[in-house]
Amino acid sequence: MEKNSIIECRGVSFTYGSGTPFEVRALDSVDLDIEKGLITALIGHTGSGKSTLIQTLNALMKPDSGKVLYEGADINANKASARDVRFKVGLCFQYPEHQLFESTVYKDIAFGPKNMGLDEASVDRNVRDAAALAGLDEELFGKSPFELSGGQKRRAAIAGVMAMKPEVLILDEPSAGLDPAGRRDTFDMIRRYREGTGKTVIIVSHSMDDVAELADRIAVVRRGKIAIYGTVDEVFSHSAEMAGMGLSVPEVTRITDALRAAGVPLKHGIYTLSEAAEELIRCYRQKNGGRG
Amino acid sequence: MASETIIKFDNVSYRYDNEDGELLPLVLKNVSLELRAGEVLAVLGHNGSGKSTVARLCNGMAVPESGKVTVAGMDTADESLDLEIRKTVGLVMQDPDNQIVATVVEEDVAFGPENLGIPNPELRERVDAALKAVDMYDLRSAEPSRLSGGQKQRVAIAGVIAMRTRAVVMDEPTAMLDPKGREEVMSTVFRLRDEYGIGVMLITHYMEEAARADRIIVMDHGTVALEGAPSEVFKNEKELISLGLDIPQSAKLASALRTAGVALPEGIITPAGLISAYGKEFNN
Repeated sequence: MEKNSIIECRGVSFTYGSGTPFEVRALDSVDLDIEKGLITALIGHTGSGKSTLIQTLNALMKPDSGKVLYEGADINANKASARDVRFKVGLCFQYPEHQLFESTVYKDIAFGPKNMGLDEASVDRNVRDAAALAGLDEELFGKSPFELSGGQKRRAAIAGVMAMKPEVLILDEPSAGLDPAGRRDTFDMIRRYREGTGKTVIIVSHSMDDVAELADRIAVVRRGKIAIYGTVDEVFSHSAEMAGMGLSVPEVTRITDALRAAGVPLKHGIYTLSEAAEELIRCYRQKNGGRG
Repeated sequence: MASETIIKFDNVSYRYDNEDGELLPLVLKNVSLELRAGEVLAVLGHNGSGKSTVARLCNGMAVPESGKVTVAGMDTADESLDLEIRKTVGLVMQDPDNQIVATVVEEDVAFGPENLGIPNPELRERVDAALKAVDMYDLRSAEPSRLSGGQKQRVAIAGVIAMRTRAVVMDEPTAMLDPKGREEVMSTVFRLRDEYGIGVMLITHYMEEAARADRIIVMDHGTVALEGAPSEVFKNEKELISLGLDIPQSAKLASALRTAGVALPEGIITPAGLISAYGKEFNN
């Protein structure tokens, strides 16, 4: 089937400290297609190369060899193309709230779109749209970002990137360090963004439960290469391989795998809570001949 | 069996002041709690609930505005006891990169006890034992900057136990780690409890980690909202969600199944618990 890719990595390699004794090959000939309009999750343990990879996608880092194509064109072709891609591919780093610096929430969210050279009316519209996605009430606009709660700060910082309306939004561990309510709110925000704009999203995450609920595609990064790429179903069906890579599958998948091994005739491919509940109830009712 | 209490909060209130020295509202209000030897106590609470303040009060980094914190009977407000208190309770923080000071793993672990004036060969023995306790002995000559997040956290924990502390307070030690690193830290936590009888206060946002603790305290707006065994605390799904928290995935799944008529007992909070209860009911 023909993929509709917005970003393509072709043989992308990157080495830190090249030519020194501390040389580390962070990316080793990566081939990866980011499909347009989907949410792709990048997973892999610390040091696998995920963070380097996302920085090559908007030309913050230039590969030593290989190419990154945005809609078919080499983003590192010249200075103008590298600058251009930064507005099309918005990158939100880990703990982005550490970079809030303006005196009000409004100004902070407006910083990116203003920098893009948008007129005032467009900036204003983008800020309001992004704040709505973030679930930040307009009453908060005049406040200092530092008066917000931890979860609100995180969402305000993400809203600042969303306000640039990038074609591709990249979020590096958007829920790290948040409490469960903060995590729920952040993932709701990402879902609303994708549903409302139809734009492409890439998230880096360590939480397999969250990835199963949110992503359309998963790319497993290992030692600077893409070890597995596919749908949630395709990737999480490799549970033994995932465990070997220091990763895991969602908790409900571990539960249903163990029960299937113990003889409960559950179907394969259960990754979310609702799928697990449905299937466990079905098997239970079947076994009990309709009672219950 | 009643174990010895190591950390005790007795009606503790605390507040910070701003840059101008003005007092801010109370962040802890009349909190009483205890950490006993050989137990893992999980402390849950939304961002800003006062959890990290509890950690700072545990070894005298902060002292109560009113009420009393004692460590093995020593009042943390008594400055002359500071050193003894820090020898008794160690602190491990969230960011693995902010708490490593040396360029070689074993030197980092030796830093604390060396500063206590521990001479060789005892120093050597303590460092080796601590590295073995966290399963990092083989990497004792490594350079900390080359370690994974989970390995760095284990070095930080070793640094604390090399001081022969009787309790360790960990403030979200797994927040910045990948699943493997998280599991490394969690198994170290239980090893400290089971093999060394150390009391561990584990402040966390992960319900799955709290489900494995011996006891849970839930903080909300500076007070203790819930306290008890994990299977008891996680019965309060609605209340926990309204407090910005959650219940473990296994508990949620069990509750959905119970609602649909699957006869599962109450108090299922771990994958193992659910697998065994469902398996039993299915084969019934």
